[in-house]
Amino acid sequence: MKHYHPPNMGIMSGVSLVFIGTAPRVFLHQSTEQLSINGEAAWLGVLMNSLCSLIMMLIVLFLINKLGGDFLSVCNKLVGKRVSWIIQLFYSLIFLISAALLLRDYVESTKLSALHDANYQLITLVYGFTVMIAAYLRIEAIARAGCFVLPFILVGSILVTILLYPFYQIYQLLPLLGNGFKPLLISGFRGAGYNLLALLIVILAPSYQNVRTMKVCFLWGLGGSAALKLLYMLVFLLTFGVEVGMEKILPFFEMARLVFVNHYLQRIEAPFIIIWVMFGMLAIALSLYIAVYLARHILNLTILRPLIPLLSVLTIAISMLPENFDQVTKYEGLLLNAEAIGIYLIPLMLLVAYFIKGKDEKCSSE
Amino acid sequence: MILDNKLITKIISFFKKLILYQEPALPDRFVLQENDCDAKALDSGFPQQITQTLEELNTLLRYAYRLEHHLETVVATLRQGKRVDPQIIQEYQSLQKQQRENEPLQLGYYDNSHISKDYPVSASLKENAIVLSKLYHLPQNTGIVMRPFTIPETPSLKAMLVYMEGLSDKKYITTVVLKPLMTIQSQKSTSSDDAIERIMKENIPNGKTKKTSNFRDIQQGINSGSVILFLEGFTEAIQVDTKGWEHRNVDRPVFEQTVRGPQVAFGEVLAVNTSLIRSLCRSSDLMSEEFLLGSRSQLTAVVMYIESIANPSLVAEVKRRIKSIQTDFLVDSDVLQQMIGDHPNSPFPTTASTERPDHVASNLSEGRIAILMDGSPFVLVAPITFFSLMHSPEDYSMQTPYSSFIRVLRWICIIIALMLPAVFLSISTFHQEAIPTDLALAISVARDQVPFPTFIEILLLDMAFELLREAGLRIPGILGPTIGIVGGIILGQAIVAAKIVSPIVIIVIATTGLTSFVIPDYRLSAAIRLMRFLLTTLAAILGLVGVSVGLLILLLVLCNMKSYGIPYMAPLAPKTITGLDVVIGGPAYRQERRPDVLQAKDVTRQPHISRGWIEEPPEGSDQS
Repeated sequence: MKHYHPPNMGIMSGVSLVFIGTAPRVFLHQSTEQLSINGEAAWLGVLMNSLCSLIMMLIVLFLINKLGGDFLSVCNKLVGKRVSWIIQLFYSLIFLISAALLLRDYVESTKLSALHDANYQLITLVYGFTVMIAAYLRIEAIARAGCFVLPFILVGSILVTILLYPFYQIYQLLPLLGNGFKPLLISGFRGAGYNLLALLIVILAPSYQNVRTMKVCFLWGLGGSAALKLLYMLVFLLTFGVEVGMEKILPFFEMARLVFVNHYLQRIEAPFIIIWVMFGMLAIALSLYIAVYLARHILNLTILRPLIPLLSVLTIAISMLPENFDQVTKYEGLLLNAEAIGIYLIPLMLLVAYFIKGKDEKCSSE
Repeated sequence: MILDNKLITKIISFFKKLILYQEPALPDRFVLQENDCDAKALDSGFPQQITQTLEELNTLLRYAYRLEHHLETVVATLRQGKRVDPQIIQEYQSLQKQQRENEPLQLGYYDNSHISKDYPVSASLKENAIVLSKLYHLPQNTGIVMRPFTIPETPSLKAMLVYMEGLSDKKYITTVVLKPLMTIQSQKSTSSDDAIERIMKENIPNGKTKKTSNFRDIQQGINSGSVILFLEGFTEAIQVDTKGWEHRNVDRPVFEQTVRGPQVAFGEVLAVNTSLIRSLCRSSDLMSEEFLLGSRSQLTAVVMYIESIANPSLVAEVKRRIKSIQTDFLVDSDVLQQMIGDHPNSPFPTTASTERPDHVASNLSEGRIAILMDGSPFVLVAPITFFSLMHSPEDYSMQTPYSSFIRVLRWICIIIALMLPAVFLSISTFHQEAIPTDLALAISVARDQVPFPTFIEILLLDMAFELLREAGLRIPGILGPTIGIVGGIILGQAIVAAKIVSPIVIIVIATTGLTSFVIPDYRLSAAIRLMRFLLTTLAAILGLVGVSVGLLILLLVLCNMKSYGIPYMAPLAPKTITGLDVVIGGPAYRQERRPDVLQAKDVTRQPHISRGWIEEPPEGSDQS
């Protein structure tokens, strides 16, 4: 039986993994939610949560730089094996539930946008099977496939934003502070939870050359994802405004649908289905893979692959639990709180632990 | 009365024969019986031991007869008061050597009843002839020629030539081996131990001559067209390379035709193929290492690489894989590819298979490895990437802007060949809003009287197209393409007239078929066609979502693949440093580095400024 060996990955793979892990909800209803909380300042909220998550990731990188190893070994060193075990279980569950809810989100979005009459269970099974294959082929394949999908995402996004320029109304960005400073601050901080999957870089730290490589992955991956989210948020606001925008369930789909250049270039939403489905599947597979990776650590197993079909079935089953789309949104709100704990509380706790006792265990990886 | 009885009996017999069924007097039909290998395995070794002992006794008996004959000759010579001539001494020495071979321990080790390939060459010509008869199942098996003759030295020496008719050049054997040996005028003693060396040096004018001492090498030699010279009294034989079987001459490429560039293709003869590569790559460190493949086919495979460029680990890995093959029959390079490739079950090729020496030479110069096989006109090149399969040798012969344009066109074609039927099916069935209203109406009107869903239409026509393509390949001579075209036109018209499929589906399938032939690698083209069926089926289930899911799985599988340890989708995923030669091709002077993914020993192909003349002033120009 083959033992698990961490793959060797480069900057491009790392960037694509961070990007895939942090940006999939841009094609779903994240923009509408931000709009309803922050109004015209929704784009500022997006900017804030990206900056916050970047800062937290740099804190984790600082700890890895000082103590060496990966995120899990840092946890072991700073808070002991028992607490570390609980932390790993917490992250594993979060990633698993996140994968399940994201899967359900994509299924519901597919029904709303592309396949109105299809049975949602059939779509769930097809998506679930795809995700299982992706996870089974391991992180390298997901990262490399991401490298291929990313340019199409970027070119497609830029194309839509350019083609929508006749609908732009600048005054829809005003007032700049939207619904006020307080909701902006709260949602700005809380929204960093959406970027929790960026943590995969430090969880898979042995796959990367050094801390500098990981830092570049964070900067470009989170930066690129923030730029995409910001672009969409601004274009969404410029095109629809707050009142109309809050009624749109799938902002990107609606924006692509609005495109009209001439008789032969109109309603270009259909070709984009190919791109966003691929992007979504990769994101779900990534979340599932990290959940499996952590489960392997928790159970102290030498191999990873046999867990993948098992947890894939579990993901599909969890994704079918919510009764409707409203319940999915509700559960996602709860999950976001847990993700916020994962991105703020645990890294800060580790930082405090480092300053209290970890300095003795210095072993710089550089 | 007796007569009456006989008559009645005859009449009864006649009617009996006429009425009753008589089984025809035919032999029993042949029925292949089950193999009794298992039963044999269960048997004790007793009968085999008896056979072995019998063979040992026979060998000893033959030796005894020979010894008796020799003693009689010696006695007769002594009685006549003559001097013992060198012939008798030579015979005596030969007998001495044979006696050593006949020691019980040695006879027991080399089981004479089941002659192994390591069986040593005997000092006795007769014994060697017997061993060869057993190995080649003579006289039932024809083709082996055993030609005894005498070398007229002093004393005369008995010899025997053995070769395979048809594999060796008879004229060459007569001129280079038989004639010089039969007209030898040497006064030196042939009984001396260095006689073999001397004959090889002085009497056989051939560059590839060597000594062999066991029947493994001898069999290999005979089976590959060499002639074997056995000499009486010597426990070694001489192997002379006299390959000369009939073969196709060096011809133009059939499957990789180009307008520009070299117009030479490989043939079936290994030596010719290696020489074609060497003629294009005249580097002294161009290595070619031989491996014998197949315990029964015994064909030679050659691994070629440039020692100063190719990565040693890569070379070692390719050799390791080839050495590890255990099979009895392996006759084609494509079969070899299945034995050593990373993903033999994938439809996507992990080695390039080419019939062009220039293609192989350019790949060798990049640090890749070529694998040639005797009898195969296709040479394997490894490792490769998906992107290198989309390159055509002609790309390097044309002006860069045009070759880049053609490459981009090729990529568009591969996307069309893979996706067009699936996308058409999705859009026409699930996402009609994506097409302009006029086109949607046109499609709808064209399909008005068609009784089948679009998926069945596409499937029917796609299958018909594949059938025509396959039939065109199988029908001999010029009839093939003619029937393909005529069949296509007639079938297309008839199928539209019969309202079985709509004209627009014919356009879709024809475009798809045409674009699939633009892909330079035949096996990649086949893989794309296969994937097209899968994508079309997924599109029939879930529209563009199905296409998307199929594409993603395909992409993931391709990204997971490796060709001899290098990622299949490099240099894009993973991103590696590469010259201007992935999709857009750059001019020759811009190809400064070898592909990074090959981890070549020498990464630099040429300096940053390879066109030195741009820095030099033209002759006669004023420097000031």
